[in-house]
Amino acid sequence: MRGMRIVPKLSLAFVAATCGILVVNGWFRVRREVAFYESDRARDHETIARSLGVAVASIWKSDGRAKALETVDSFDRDVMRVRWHDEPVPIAADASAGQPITTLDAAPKRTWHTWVPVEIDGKRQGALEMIEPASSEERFARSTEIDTIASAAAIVALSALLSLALGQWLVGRPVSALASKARRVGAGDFGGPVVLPRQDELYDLAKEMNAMSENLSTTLAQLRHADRLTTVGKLASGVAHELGTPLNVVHARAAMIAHDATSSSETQESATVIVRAAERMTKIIRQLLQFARKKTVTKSRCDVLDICRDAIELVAPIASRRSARIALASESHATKLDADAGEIQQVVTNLVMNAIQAMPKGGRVDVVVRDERATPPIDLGTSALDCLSIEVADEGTGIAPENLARVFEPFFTTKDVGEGTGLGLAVSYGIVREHGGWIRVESEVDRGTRFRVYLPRPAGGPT
Amino acid sequence: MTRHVLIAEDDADMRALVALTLRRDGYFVEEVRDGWALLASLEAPNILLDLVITDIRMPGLSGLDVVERIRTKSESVPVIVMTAFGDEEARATATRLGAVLIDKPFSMDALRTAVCHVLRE
Repeated sequence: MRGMRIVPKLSLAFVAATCGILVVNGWFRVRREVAFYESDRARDHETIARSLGVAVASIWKSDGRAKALETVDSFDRDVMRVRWHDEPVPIAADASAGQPITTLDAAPKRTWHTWVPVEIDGKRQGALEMIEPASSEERFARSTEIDTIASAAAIVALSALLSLALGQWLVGRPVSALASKARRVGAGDFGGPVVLPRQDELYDLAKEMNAMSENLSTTLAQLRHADRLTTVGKLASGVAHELGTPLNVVHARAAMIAHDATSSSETQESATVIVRAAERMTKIIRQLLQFARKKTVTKSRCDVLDICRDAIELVAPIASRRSARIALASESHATKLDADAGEIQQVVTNLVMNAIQAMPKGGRVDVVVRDERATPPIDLGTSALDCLSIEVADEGTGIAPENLARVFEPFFTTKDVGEGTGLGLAVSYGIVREHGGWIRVESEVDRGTRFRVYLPRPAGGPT
Repeated sequence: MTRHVLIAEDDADMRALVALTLRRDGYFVEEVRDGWALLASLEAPNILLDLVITDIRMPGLSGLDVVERIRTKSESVPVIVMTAFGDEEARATATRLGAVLIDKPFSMDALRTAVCHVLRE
């Protein structure tokens, strides 16, 4: 994919920030709790030491010094050492007030150290020394650290999961819906507005995008309409020109017969010319009707290769008279298609005839049927389609670049009078369009011309 | 003196019709069937032309292309352009080149009138 997506990126930033906060917070919490625990333990020590001091003093008073020191020894265990020191003892100044002193020595091992002065009848006899290793404090500190780290890890994992899911729901899915809409608009499909469930900024964007694609669709329709109007204008002027000349001839020849024919041979000649002109006008009108008619194509399963073969057979006599050779080849695995066989044959015949006429000195015409994936013109409005293509290539005079764009225009012809009406390619174009296809042309002057008919196969259908 | 008229038209029937009409009226008529032949005739030496009648759409050079070429070169041989209705661009060009327009379909009387007008007879 293209780098990292937005949602994981946001989640990562969010999780990193959470991590930072948890580390700082955890550090202070562990320190605070350990300090609290230690002061608690110090108080416990003092309490035990004080009661021990009181007990020793009371035994001393009633049973004497020896008994009291015996009791002190009985308290001396591995866990907590208790010793007796006679005066003078190394004890801090304020302990003289009869209060115990507790310190936590760091070296060589962390150890609790408590001194308790013992007085009998107001006179200090000595002091008890209590020593206990601070192992439970270390255990507490370690377990507090582990607790803190475990809960932080759980919070991080949960927030990562939550931010990913939420991000996907709030941003990821709407953005990919918008992207797919943009892709469809790019491919010329303006239908199907994108609808987002929540009213947020992305919802606004979707709304604007829908409006934009609707505007585009309207503009495209207007453009197509304008294009059609231009075509109608060209058609009208073409009709005026094509019919104007024979009509002129008919009118003038008839006037000659009516007014100033001097001999029967002249009359006969004029009449012959009139018949010829009338035939030409009929032919033009017939082709015009064929061009204009909106007949629905009757499709049935047919083999395009057979259609090409029939078309070539049809023009073979003309081809041999003009010393043109026609070769048919198939590079397709499946040449069967749902189409109007008669219509497609007309298209192929027309293209092959044009190819023959483009080679006054003869030459070779190649007809090739192929499987091809091709992108249609923008107004057919979809992305690349699987097509069956029919290519008709000649080695003729070619079409000048300025004429290339006009070859499908009705009445556009560069042929001599009588050779073409300028409707053949326009009719072919219409037929192919009715099949959902299109025609492409490329040409090089003096090298030849290549027409390619694209007939789309139904999507997902049998090939 | 007999007037010399050159007719350029790719449609044989139309060309024959115009030629026949003018010959009957006593003109000397020469016929060509495309733009290149028209240009060749116009550029041929020792031919004194009184009038050119030309179609617009012809194979090769169009009638207007030829008129444009001879107008940049030299003298002002009168030109009548036979045109179809609706071809506004061609009409504008023809007028700019000082040609007289005659719209198809036209009657032979209209042709005669136009020819007489151009030749000031």
